[in-house]
Amino acid sequence: MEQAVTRAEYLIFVFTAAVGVIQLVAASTGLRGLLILPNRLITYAISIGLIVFAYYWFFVRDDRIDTVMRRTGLEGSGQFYNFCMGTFAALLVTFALSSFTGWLRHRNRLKDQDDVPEGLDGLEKMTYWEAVRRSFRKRER
Amino acid sequence: MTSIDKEIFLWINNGVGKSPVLDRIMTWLANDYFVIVTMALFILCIWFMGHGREGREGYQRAAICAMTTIGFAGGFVYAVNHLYRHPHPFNAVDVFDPATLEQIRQHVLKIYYFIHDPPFPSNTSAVTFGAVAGLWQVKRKLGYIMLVPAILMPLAKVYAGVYWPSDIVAGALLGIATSFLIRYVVLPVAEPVIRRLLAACRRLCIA
Repeated sequence: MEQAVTRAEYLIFVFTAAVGVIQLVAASTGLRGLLILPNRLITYAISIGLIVFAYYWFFVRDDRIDTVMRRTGLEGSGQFYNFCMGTFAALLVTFALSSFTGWLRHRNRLKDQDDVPEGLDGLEKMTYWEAVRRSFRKRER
Repeated sequence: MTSIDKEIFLWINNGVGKSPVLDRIMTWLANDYFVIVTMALFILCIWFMGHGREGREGYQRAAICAMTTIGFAGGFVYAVNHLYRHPHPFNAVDVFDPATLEQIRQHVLKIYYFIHDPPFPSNTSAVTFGAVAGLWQVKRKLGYIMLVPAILMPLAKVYAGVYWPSDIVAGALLGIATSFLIRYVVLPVAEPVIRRLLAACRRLCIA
């Protein structure tokens, strides 16, 4: 029998699935600022593909569910910690990529700064980078 | 071990090997990662749900309640594990005759593996039911959606032969009781902190 599930494998799995989930929920709730790609239909397809791939890669390839997962791998606390790390990394990458592609597209820029809602709602109209910048500027004023 | 516990356990565990499809489903459900990660990803999804500040805050509070319940329930399971212990079904030499015990061990190997964590109360059950009850306290519909995997995962572990039915019932009760403690005691006390946390998250545009 092979070795148990490693921390790196679990992190990659959580990271990939979390990116897919964030894209999926962003597309379905209208958070356009979080979308890496502008087209919602393509985003749905890619995010579902990412989630399916993550699960396939982690559980199914090399029959892992019947080999490496038949022994203790990560304990509960380790799973929780690494899930948080993987999700945090997925959020950071999503913020960076969606802000970059949004900036490339030169869309979603609002001229009327007072019209921008606070928090996640701001991402319905602009990229994450723009929303954070406006949020901190507002406080300074 | 009560005789009713033993009877229910054997009734469920004797299903192993009778249907390859059911065995396969139970292998997935009992897996350490499959249901837990899926539920955690669902809670992540909940964080981004809703529209408008108030709408989103309701979902985010549900996610906070569920996550806090999971953390506290895990701690309570750890504490109870130190107060009371009984053997796993596959190690219950005082309960089963050698032939039955050997059969149970074969069932464990077919579906899962020999776990080391104390069985009472089931940490799986406490965490899954804690998450469901935590969500249910704030958003009823979300709790009902999560109820199916929360029931199936501990049940799959009884099927596999690593928990007694009483272990998962105790874990579920512990998880549910913890969610009430969190909803009606911990969260009201921590309300100023939660309000500040949500405000900070809003400023960072993540809430």
